[in-house]
Amino acid sequence: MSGQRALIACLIACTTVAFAQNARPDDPALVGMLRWLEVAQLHTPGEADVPATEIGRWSRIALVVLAGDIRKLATFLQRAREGSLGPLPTIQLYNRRFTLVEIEKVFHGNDTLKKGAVLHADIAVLVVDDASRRSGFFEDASVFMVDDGRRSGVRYESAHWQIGRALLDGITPSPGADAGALLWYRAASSCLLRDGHLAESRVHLDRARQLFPNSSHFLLDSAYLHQKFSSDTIQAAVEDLRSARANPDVGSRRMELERAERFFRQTLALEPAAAGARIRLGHTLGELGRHEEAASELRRAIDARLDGPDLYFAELFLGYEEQTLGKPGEAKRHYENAAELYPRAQSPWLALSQLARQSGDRAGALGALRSVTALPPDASDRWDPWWDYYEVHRDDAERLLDQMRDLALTEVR
Amino acid sequence: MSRHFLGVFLTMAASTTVVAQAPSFSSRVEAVRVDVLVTENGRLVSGLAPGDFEVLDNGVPQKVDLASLEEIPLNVVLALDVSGSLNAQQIGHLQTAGSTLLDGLKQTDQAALLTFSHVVSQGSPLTSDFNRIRAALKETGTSGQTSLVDAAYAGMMIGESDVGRSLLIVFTDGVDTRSWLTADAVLETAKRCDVVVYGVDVGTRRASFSRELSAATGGRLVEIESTRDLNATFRGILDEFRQRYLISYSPEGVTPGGWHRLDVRVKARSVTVRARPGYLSSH
Repeated sequence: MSGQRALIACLIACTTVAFAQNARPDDPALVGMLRWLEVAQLHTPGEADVPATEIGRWSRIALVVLAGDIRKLATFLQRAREGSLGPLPTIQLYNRRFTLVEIEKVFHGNDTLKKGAVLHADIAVLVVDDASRRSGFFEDASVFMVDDGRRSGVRYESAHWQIGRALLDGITPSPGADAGALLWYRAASSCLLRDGHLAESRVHLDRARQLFPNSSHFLLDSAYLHQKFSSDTIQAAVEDLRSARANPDVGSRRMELERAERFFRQTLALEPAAAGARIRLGHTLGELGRHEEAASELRRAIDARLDGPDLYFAELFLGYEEQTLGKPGEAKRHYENAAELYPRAQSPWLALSQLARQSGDRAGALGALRSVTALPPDASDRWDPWWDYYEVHRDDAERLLDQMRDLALTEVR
Repeated sequence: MSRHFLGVFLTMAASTTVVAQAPSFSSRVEAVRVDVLVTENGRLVSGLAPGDFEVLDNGVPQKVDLASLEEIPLNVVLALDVSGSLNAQQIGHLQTAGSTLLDGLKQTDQAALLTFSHVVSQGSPLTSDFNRIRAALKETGTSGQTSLVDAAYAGMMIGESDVGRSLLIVFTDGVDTRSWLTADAVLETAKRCDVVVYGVDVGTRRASFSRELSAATGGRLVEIESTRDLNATFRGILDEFRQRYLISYSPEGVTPGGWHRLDVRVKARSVTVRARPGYLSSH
């Protein structure tokens, strides 16, 4: 393997020298593109290696220029191979003109684009000193960090996800028909949601749904995202930001709930057995005030024989819907079911207490509340799944990244 | 779970006896208690007798049986936001202010401590052992999100878990981000229980829930820019609460059950009266 990599490195170095002699690449952008073509081939997927670290030092604007240049190469290669550029096609790059033969020595079409996309995903995930997070050329590259419903800072989002998408857009005949591109988009989506990069997630998922309209993965991720946008945490943060004259791309609570509902329904149309999506659809409908519909979806979810947090959520949410629909007995039963699943979770006990107090049962209310006040003070000893309901935990992120990297290696071989 | 804000009030169950010492009273019929703050040009008005008050329950004049000042022991519940947005200095101020408030309590009073981030945690139940609460205050650390609504509910329930006049002080520096209970539900509960809520909001973020809950229970929202003077704020709330009249009447000429609008006035005086706007009757 190391011998093969050394050979590739030698070939690239030789090619680059020849290329450089022809082009006299004194334009920094051209030099950068050539260097990128070289190190993209040298990068070992899944490692914060020298190529990843080197490209990780590039500025945001340099990366954007690079992506444009690589796309030009991809378009040129495609049209040249189709024969639409005549018998001796050439391309002008900065102050130099190159032949098809010269381009084909350093740029391998879809393989280079996908390898490059993996390189940039790895930089976004693995390279700590990602320079694109420190600088911005475009105003909209900045993102607000929020915590507990308020802004806690401003930073620049990594440009590398954007660059990865731009590279994959050059895949022929279409990135939407490419298994590697699909895997890259899924892995990226999972990482972005897991790490709370909401602004980037939105852009990413908008493009993913365009490319892969029949993938339930992106519909479900989109539903998660908009449901999170509807949460008290995000809505409070948005209000805080707007008071500071910022205008984050988040709609009103109702608007975001309606978007989430649409995506959950589309997901379920493709995957009717997706119980998690059905629970969240039920919860979303309840939030929208459509309690009968919510209860119906939640009952259907429970009938699907859930377990763990999914069952807990379904019971807790159905308890609330039954309470709202004026069925305290049913509400009590479902709250108790939730409490039985997670006896140290405070939410079902608070719900049971409030339900009792609502009916005038003061002793019952205090009794249920004692189950909360008797809990240990440390959150780690009394986890309540509700606390994490809006956090999109993606346990599949690392697995998808590994699959994406494996596929990239396989395709290059 | 849309969240609206409604008015609030309190009612007392028929057989409940209020307090061991002082003007205790009991009744076999529903007695309604109303905590009333009377001020004139910003100064507290004392010396009023039952006959000085005019109470309208759903527009029907009632006979006030009792109007007392100070004598009834207090249940003071401190519900303190300890979410991650508070810094060490603010926590220090909070601990000192809590301790100062405890200094102002009498031996017949009780206090309880509730802290909340996303975790609602009882530092101490209602007790007259104030050193226990001081010790719990010292243990306070910060982390996490904010379950303001859940904590306010728990604080009200703790407040009404024993006889006496109940004051709930809810300190927060932000808005709710993690409660399970809805503001609607908790405001509705507040209409059924007997606790006066004073909200203390620090910083620039204003939780509308605190304002609504305070107003609905006949309490008040105190907005402060920093925690530097929290001592004085907490002590001021306690002093003000002690100056409130507790008036009581047995409703006559009104239909039991449902929402009862309350109008409390002082006869022949141009004073400002602060009381809960009504109560939900269970009967």
